[in-house]
Amino acid sequence: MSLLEVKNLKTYFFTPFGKVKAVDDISFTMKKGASLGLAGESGCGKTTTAYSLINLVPLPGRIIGGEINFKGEDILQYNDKQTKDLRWKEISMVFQGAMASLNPLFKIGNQIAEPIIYHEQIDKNDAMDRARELLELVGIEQSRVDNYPWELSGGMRQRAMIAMALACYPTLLIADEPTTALDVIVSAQVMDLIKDLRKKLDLSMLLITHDISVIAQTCDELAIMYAGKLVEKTDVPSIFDNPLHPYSHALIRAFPSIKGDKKQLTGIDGNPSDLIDPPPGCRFAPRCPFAKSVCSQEDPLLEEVRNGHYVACHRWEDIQNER
Amino acid sequence: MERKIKVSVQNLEKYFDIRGGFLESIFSRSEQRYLKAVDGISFDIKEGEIFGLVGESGCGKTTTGRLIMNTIKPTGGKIIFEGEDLANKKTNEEQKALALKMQMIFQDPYEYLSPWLNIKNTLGEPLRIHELVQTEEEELETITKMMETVGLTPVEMILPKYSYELSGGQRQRVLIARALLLDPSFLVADEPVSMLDVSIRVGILNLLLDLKEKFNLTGLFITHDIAVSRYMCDRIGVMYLGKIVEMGPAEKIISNPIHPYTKALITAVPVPDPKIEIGDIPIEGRIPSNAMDLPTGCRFHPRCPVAKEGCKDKEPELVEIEPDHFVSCHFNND
Repeated sequence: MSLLEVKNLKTYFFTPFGKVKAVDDISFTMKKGASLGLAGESGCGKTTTAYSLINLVPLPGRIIGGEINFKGEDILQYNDKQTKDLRWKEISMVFQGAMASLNPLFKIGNQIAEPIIYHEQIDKNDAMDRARELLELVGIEQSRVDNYPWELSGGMRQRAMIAMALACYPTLLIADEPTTALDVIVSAQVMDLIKDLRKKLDLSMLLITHDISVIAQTCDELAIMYAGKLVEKTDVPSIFDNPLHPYSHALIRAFPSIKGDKKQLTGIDGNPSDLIDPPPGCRFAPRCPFAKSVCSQEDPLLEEVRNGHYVACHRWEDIQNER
Repeated sequence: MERKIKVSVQNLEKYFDIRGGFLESIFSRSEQRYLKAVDGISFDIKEGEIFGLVGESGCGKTTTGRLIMNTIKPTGGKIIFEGEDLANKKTNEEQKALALKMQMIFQDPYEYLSPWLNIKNTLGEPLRIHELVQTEEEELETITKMMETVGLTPVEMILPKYSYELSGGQRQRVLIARALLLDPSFLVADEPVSMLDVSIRVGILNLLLDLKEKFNLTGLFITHDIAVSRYMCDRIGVMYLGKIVEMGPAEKIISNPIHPYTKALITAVPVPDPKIEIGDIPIEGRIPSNAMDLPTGCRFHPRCPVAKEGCKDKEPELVEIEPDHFVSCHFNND
């Protein structure tokens, strides 16, 4: 049985300018112990997907349809108490921008201990001991429990956030752009840490990032989103070897690499699609070099075209030959 | 043929005064303290090449760019632009003449575009200030041509818009157009793509490379991303805490880094290919957050995996270890 099964999830934001279809009918599954990378550009709905999984979509956003089955139960049907019990104990999240997510008025230790005390009803001293162990686990000296967030560097804050996310030994960890604000070397150190912890604690992980190179180095599976839709999902080696969707193909080739020969890169023409009034048919069609008339008429479905390889494109087979 | 030197930076220093508040500066007898943002760097940019400054945040790369643009004054050292010392350019006229030769584009285009001016006026203003056009028709013609060159089309649609109505990529193109309208021969680009989406990024990088050929530009490209610098630059200088630690042709440095910091920086870059396993990061820790109390000797020694006795005491010089490849490390032969 899969650990997480998202079915036809729709999360819209009801703004004065219209409905923003941030997540528009996406489905995917994750097995226990898997690591799935969710990639895409800003505004493609990847963070909204993550917030939907812990039912924390900020207003004016609302989940308006679909199911999220976690360990066989639809968590969207949970009441407030059940949802609170689920968060952190089962699914926890490392948020983007650690400084904005840590409370500057409380010591790191107290912030890490808070969910432990809530979920496990243990005494404060025991919880603080656990906080110290967790800090050590993520490579911060135990004495730092008494520090405030602003006394830590960016990398340490991000580590503290990870310690906090692991406080109740969750089954699924969602990491939303965990290294985006960090310097190159520090971010490599944080990603190393996440990889180690995943092995050590047998975590399942959903990693959200705009940087597919990070996913190439960290995850087993990759799902690519474009304008609120999932366009392709499969294991990491096959998508990097042979991406089937033209958007995935372009995205993978848009990154300069430091290894191998210096390659000419090609960008993608045009701008990301409007989510209030998306183009009809395939949303990538206006920017797609392979688009034909069918693409702007019919919405392509995400179909399993090979074993475990899902793609949403009318013309993926023809494109293989044309390329 | 040896190419002419466009910009020559010689022992450039910029120290920021960080006395606390006003009262403290009057009454306190504590020692005067400085933040050494740029601390004695030298390099040449040859005509027609793109030179890259690469490093993590706080290494002084942006300060160097601003010093070269003559928007802040150096504490010490010299910048020679086309054979003339920038320190002598003091009057308004001289500054204005300089603006026709050197221009800059920035990381966040939104911050550098006035929300009160539409694109037509944004692009027209520098032409009027420098009296490069006589009539309105001429102005419109020049702007239109430039907008087509940088890919801001359809022109008639974009001209009446304001910067907040444009996408990030379009804004960056406006900034590039505005810089190039004055027909400069030298362009400083400070992290021009780090705010942009992946799919837009390559478009801007390729545009800059095209324009460099078309307008015969010489460039200084500032970035934290060594992979981008490889794509853009002929030669790069790697900076660490206000010093250049390694300098040379981009390909040479990336395929054969000598300085332990450069090595670490290259190892840390994720590669968009799962078949390539990135190695362990050879260094610990991070850049000291308190750049006022710099480590003694070699600034990198507290984090360096190969540091030995002497590194703590003696500051290494930037020496040429092979033609056009400079390294600042005591153990550049190991």
